[in-house]
Amino acid sequence: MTGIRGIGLADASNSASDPKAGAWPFTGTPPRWGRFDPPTRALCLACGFALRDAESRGEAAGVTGLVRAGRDFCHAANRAYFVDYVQGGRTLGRSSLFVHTLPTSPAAEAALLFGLHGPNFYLGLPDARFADLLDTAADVLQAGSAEHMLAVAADGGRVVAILLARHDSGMMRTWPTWTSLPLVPLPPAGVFVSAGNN
Amino acid sequence: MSSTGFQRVALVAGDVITAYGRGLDAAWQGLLSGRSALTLPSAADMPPSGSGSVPQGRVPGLTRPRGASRVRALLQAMPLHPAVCGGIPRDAALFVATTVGDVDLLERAVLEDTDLDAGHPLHLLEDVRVCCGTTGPAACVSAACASSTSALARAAERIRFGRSDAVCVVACDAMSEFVCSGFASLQALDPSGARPFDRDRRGLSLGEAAGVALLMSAERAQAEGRPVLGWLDGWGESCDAHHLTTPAPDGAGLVQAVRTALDGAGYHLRDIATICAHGTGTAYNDAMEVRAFRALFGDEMPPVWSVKGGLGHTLGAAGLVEALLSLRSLHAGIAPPTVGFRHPDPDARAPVTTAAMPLFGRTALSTNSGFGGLNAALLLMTAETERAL
Repeated sequence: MTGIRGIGLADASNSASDPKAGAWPFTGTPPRWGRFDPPTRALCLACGFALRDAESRGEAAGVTGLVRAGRDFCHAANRAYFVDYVQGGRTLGRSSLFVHTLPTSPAAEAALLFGLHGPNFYLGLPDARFADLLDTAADVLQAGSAEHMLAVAADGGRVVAILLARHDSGMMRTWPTWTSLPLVPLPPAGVFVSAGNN
Repeated sequence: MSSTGFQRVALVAGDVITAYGRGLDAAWQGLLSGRSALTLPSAADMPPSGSGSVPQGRVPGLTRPRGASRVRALLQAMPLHPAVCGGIPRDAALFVATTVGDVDLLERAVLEDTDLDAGHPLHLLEDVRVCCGTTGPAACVSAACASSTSALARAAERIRFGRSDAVCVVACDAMSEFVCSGFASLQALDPSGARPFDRDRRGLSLGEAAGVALLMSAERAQAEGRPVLGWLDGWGESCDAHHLTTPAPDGAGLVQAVRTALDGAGYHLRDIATICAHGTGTAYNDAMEVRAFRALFGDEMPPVWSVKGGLGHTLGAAGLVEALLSLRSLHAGIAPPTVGFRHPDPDARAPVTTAAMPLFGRTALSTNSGFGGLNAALLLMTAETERAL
């Protein structure tokens, strides 16, 4: 059976993205934090909250992967890189911008931050529901590629991270009712407060 | 259905377009010939500054429809429509694997200061869905240079666990000023053309390609009388969590991905007859791969080859192109030469050759790695085996 073990919610624009805020999930400021763009910060925060949620139950050890889903890819980062390149005379791009022009770049930063050694990929899902994202993550667990999967829904700076774990070889997947909600736009935080106790 | 209760995953059809031209046969014969399809770009294909004048794997004679992206031109030339692959089922799920999609539309929008949304990969997904005529679930999959490897893994999972019995995977990435300038900024391009696993390698060569693969459950393939090209029996993925662009030097992440694939397939290392490596030609990647293969196989490493000195690094399309070529290699009983390879690297010695080598076995390992420390491995087996449908 695959189950939800932790949930984290973050918004790049709220106070949780401030290292001095009370909800801050890390000890100190993580390395490279100052270089992260708002979507990457929000993703790392949401993952941090989800992992901390699970750690409080002692269940977050083992190989953990990450699947991020949404509609935004890294379109803004791609545009920022190319605008900078054109403004620089179209001779040489800026490598520090180019390395963030992949949809997996924010998730790769999270993998570095949390030591996530499992599969790491991005899903562009135009009409998906949370259950579709969870099923994809559960497939990865079922295949034995990871012991835990962070299923991350991202909509710009707003991110929901859900930590899944598999407990036996069965295929049963019972998702909470709120997972029938559309992935994008993300539902309000209150939905997840109640769902976390589901 | 297998004894475990899970569906076996059959690869029933596939096609590619690469710098060697249209079709898998062109790519295969090109590799066997030892001739590189890498060429210097024409003046029309270079940015005004003239940067990027290094060998590239461009598809010859590609004409871009007015207003369309180069990726759309690749898909049109392959071609991609509902009748390919012996007919793409309408109910098939669809995965489109790419790193940057229609990025040349974004380039144009920036240069002309127009549509902010131009080149968004979800537009590509919708167009590919129309081209394939599918109505099933659809998604873009992106995992850097392992994008189509990851998409094949997602497809195989859907089939193995009974969520789909037919999945179409389309992979595509095209040459662009965006990508060329980016890799140039990383000083990752070999001015002489990629020389995978060679002592004197200096970097990669960019290429472009599109590919399509149709996967089905064994039951459906049999029910529809589809020929089975091969089985996708194992897959594994991992993340080094080491560096954003540089692979972990010890290759531990790739080892983890291969071991996961072996466990999932129920195979042993001795079953693997050949390795189609990522083999980009960069110092770090190739050394990492050899360390990983050495850790796995010791001195019993099977023949290793890379396609990237021949057709370039096709980014998000690489995994699918190489998976199909791996099956072709098994069918032919030959590991092709690694184009561009001349001198063995004493620090990264592997059974890579300048000539084709005979194969003994029916299973190939195909590996890819990418930015973010992503690793992916596929285990493919030819259909004529003791494991019947």
